[in-house]
Amino acid sequence: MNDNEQLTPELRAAEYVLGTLPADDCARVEAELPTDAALAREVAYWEQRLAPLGLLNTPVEPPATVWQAVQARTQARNEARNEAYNQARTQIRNHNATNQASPNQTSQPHSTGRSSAAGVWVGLAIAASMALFAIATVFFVGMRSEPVAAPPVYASLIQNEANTLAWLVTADSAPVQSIRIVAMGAKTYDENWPERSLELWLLAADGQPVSLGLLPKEGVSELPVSEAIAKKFGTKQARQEPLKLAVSEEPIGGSPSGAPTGKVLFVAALNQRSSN
Amino acid sequence: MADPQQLAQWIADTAQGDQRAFQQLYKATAPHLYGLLLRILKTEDKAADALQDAFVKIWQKAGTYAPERGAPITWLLSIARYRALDLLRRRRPEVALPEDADMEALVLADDNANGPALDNETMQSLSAIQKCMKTLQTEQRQSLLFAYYDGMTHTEISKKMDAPLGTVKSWVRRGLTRLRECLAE
Repeated sequence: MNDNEQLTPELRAAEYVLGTLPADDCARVEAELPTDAALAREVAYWEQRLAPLGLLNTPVEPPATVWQAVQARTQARNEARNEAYNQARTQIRNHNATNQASPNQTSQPHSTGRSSAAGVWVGLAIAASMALFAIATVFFVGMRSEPVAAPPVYASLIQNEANTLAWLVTADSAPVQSIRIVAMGAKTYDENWPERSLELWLLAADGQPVSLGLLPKEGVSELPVSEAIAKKFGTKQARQEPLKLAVSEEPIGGSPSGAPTGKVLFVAALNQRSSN
Repeated sequence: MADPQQLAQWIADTAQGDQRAFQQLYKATAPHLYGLLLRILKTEDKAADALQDAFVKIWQKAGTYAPERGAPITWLLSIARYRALDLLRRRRPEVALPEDADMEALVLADDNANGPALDNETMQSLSAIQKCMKTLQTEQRQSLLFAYYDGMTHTEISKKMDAPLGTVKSWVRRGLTRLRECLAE
């Protein structure tokens, strides 16, 4: 037998699955697969027959970072949102850079904000609402395939002083139906709170904290808001002071009591857009 | 590992955008995929990257999985393995052959005793392929195992086994043909 031995269509499919087909032939097979039913059948046959060999390896628990990365890449509902997420990240980084240059905006250190694990001072940084809505608008306008094109009604930027951790919290409607959170800084999160959940609270007009849910480490997520909680946001007209959000350190899964039980790490203003 | 019906359900739910089902699918199958990727790619970094890419693809393609075309684990392993092959091919030929590509693949694949707990259906297809692998000539079997477990090309197998390229191609093709005949029996 020699080098020139005839490569039958069956063998071509088999070698494609095995991985011994040269790269350009592989590309050809992939191009033909959607339209060539016989080829597709052959490929499926070999995938099915050879795959059990893959199970003979001892299963190995992958590092936790893999799932975090997968989650960050898939939580966004579609590519457009992924793109918007990257844009928002850039915008927030740029914004952070500007904010550092003029620290007298509304930023102030939070008195109890020393994280236990790393001794890193964390603080609150409330962005000037104009800049914040600019960021949020960029984020939402980027989501072309989403029905929402208008800037959000509520927005808040929560971040640590080192600018290594940030959450952009927005809501699209008043009354609020859900809040969307863009999170970045999983590394800082893991370093400081490896075995903890961070819970987001609305500090309502009556002074009682109301849980809005757990903050994600990375990626985009959406938390539903019940009608009862939506009422706690009140109306801009009736409000004496701006609404605030707080973040507390809690056991995994969140506060067992319904009120913050751990250290309050961040407090940030929740800005509301003046007009709808 | 969860049974095929459960895996298929999680894939179907994942196709609907169900993050929770996706996470359960990941928990149940990622260690199997990662074990194979480590074997093929040899380093944890590369295997972790390939696993990440594979699961992003699984998320995107979940809607295309058709249960009648094969077991869920087969589909998942194929996606992971193709990703590994892509990564291997992309960095060739600059990277030298891994020194530790040994005969373990052969031993492992011939060993019937210590697989993970599997459902009956998967167990049957595993015994079928193992049984048929044993009917191949040694060189044919070794060539197929180097290709399957180490992602080697014909040329690499030829260097590894110190045999002419044409001979290796012949081993691979005759091995596959023989395997197919045996599996049909």
